[in-house]
Amino acid sequence: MTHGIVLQIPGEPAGTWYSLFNLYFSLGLLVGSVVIGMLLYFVWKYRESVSNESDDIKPGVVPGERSNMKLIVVFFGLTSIILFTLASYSILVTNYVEKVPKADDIFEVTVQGFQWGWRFIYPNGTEVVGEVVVPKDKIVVFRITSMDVFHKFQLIEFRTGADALPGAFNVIWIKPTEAGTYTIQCYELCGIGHSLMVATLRVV
Amino acid sequence: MENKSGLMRWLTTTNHKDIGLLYLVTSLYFLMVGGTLALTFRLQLAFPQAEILSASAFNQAITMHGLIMVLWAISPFAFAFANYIVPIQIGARDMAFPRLNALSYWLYLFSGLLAALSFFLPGGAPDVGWTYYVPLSTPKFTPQPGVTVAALALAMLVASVTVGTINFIVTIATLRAPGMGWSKLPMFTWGILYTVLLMLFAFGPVAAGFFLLAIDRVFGTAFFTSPEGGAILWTHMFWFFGHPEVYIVLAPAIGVVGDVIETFTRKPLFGRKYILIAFGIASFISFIVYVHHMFATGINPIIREVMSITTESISVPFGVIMLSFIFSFYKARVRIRTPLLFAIGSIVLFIVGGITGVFNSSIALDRFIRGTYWVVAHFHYAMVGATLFGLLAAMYYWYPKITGKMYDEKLGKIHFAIAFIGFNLLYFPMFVIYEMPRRVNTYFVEEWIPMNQLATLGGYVFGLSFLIMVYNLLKSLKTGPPAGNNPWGAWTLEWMTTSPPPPHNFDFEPMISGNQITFYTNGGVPHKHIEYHTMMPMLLSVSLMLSFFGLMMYTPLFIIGAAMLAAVLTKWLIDDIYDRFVIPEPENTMKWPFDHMNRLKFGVWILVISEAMLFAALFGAYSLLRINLIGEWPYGPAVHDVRLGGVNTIILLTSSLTVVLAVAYAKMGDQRKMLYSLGATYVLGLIFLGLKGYEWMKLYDEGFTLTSDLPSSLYYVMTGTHAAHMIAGMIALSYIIVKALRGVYNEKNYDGVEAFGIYWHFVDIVWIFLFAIFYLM
Repeated sequence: MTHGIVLQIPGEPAGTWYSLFNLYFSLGLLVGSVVIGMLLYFVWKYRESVSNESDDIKPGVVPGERSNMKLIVVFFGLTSIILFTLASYSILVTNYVEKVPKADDIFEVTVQGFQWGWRFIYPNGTEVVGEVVVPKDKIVVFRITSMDVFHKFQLIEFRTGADALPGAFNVIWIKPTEAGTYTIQCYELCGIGHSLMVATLRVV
Repeated sequence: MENKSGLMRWLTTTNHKDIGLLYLVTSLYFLMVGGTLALTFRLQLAFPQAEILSASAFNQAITMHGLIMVLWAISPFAFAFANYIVPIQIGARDMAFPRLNALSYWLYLFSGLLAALSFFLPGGAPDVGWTYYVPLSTPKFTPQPGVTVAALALAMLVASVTVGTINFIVTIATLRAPGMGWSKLPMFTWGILYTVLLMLFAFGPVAAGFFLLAIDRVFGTAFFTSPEGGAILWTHMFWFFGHPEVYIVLAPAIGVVGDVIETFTRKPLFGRKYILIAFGIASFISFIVYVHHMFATGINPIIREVMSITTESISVPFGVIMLSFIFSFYKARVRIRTPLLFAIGSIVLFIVGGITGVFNSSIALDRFIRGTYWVVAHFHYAMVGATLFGLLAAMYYWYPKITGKMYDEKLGKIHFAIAFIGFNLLYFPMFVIYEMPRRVNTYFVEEWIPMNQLATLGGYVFGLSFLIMVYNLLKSLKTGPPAGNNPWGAWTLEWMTTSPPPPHNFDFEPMISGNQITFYTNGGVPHKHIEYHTMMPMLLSVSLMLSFFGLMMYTPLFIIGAAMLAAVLTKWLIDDIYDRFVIPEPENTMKWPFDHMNRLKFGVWILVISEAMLFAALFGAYSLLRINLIGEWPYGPAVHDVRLGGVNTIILLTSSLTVVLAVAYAKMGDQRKMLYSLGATYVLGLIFLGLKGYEWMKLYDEGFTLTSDLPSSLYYVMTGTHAAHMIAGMIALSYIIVKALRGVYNEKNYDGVEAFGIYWHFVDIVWIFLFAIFYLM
């Protein structure tokens, strides 16, 4: 049995998640390339065979300090600015992801993780194991708990998830905009059945 | 003592270089074990629904891979070089406590073997993940003894680490050559100093965590199974250690890279001072940010937000460190040799690992990527990439010093190229399939297949690249050209002695005047070396392993182990009483700002700090459980006899007073009164323990037992831990009294009495807190 995962964005919060991820990714790629590039350039440019610089390391002589306060401040400043930019956007997205949007009719499902499967309890009290069906274009809220050990309820295509802990409830929400079948899987090692702790999310 | 040869030399050595080599061989062995496990489960993952490893075998393999690599391979690999190089770099003859150094090693070896033994037990090795999350690791879900045995092995390793920590801190702080101020310490020594300082604060709490878990598993208490937040308690206790552990692993590598860059760029390290300050700041922050491992567990949103920002801010000092490293190459004379290649590799991989780690600090991103291969890729770039490559740089850098032979440079470079390619082939694909869950032994998604296969291929390339190194290093041992004292033209002290160095490191005492390293020629008479040998550290570790193993598996073995332990301890103390193992404390060393501290007193202070961390973790656990307790916490005076407890408190405080008197009399040279005071302390300690035992028995009769409820479990475990500390103190006191009877202590020599006093006062202070929280509140 093999199957694919849906690669297009099936709804929120996946879209917002990708926008944040892409920001991190582009800045990370830029910074990483510049910094690694600089290192390799210096190594090459100042290699011994072509370097005109003096040899300042002498056996038995403690070398002096070599630094440039201004440059250190620049290092500090640059790293801080990049991280501040990332952190600010991240906080906005976190608040959005964590707060269930206000809506008139919210579809709420209680999720119980157990060794090894997922049980879904609908608003009308119906209990189903292994598959949950939710409406398209509505806010869907999952109240997640565990009946035994730690699990993590992960909606892969929706790019969200939360730990399922015994004795506690964690809440996540999605707003599916594309009908289809999506994968739910446990992302916290929970025993020998962990790999098979899969369920299906059907959006109709 | 005579020089030993052959096997006996290795079993009895206390020389830091021999111990360094033992660490080296052992850590490479564990690296191979952990690596083989990884190659096995990589094979399983190369094909979806493969059946090479069952789910159970797979979980055992990943758990042991994590435990072995983090605790028994990478850090000890660093300590191989730390043991060998640090004393020489600071110009010392050996560590401050050579015999304890041997003990560190043997505890490490046998704890590792104990952990590995769990593979052969019914139910196999632990299969709960190296993070040992509860409730999964409680007996209800994983009853097999392997889980407990490995937890006990970990406790044993913590003992090894604690002893090592004390030793390295005292060594670096007090045994520096005259003139070697803190600012002149080589980077590697700084790296190790940071490592042990982090260990000092991180390992106590995790020991407390595993200790409580073992009690849960062996005696049926409910610290981690109770609904009162037992699971959350575990994540706190584990990650308070778990996050600093990343820096514990990293710090030695940063030190190596610093030294290697300096040597091969022929320029002083750029911004050395700022690198050290930055690492200090990062180390400090690392104790606060551990909560970020629990973003998805639903803790207070504001705390999480603060943690998130703090975690991102930890990248700032690391940014400064990496940019400083990079600018060290600017306008330098770069000699591209194998150690430098590995150091550059370490920097490059750390940059990738660091940047991808920033993703995890964002709560919104982390909600999804926690538990995915993104995390696996990220921390392997940081821990394997940055650290292991840094330590391989150390391997090639110090190989000529350790063996006296030069390795094959061409093979070294080939090793680097293949290892670097293999590493990236192994871990980079994991970023591509970052949505895949970690720790699954099978998967059903077609798109994940190619990247998994690439990773497996990379794993084998990376793993096999080590054979080139082993071949190179073994071959060069025989046929390599002589390396000479200083093949790299480095400035640090280890290069100013022969390769390999003599047992006493230097014929003449090194010193630094101004920036010049010179030697006291002492009229041309070289240092006379004495070898110290003892088998006690090894025997002690064996008996500890036997008793732990017996505790779980076979009671007679436990009894044999415990009896052996008692015998070894007695022999150890007798050796000391008859001064069979006296290493004179070197004079004229650079000790600032600890000029008035002798090594024994200093060591006990460090021990007290680590014990304080252990108790702090227990008090933390108490607070968390009490705050979250469902139902009423029994009012102290209603359960406990406050009058009896009060009397006992006064008795214990009085015993502190008698110790103060003993020290005072020792200083005055009044041996008789000193003995009386010590005797009084002993008697008071006995009375305290007797009353404590009486209280316990009475409470048991009243039905207030170890397993009745959380308040009672906490009471017995915390007062029991305290009592164990008292007993340890009484053993030390008996030893002090015997020595005092032999007239060892006088107005010039009262270190032993004073050091005991520090420990005793600490134990008394802990009791005051225990009395308050159990009897009065």
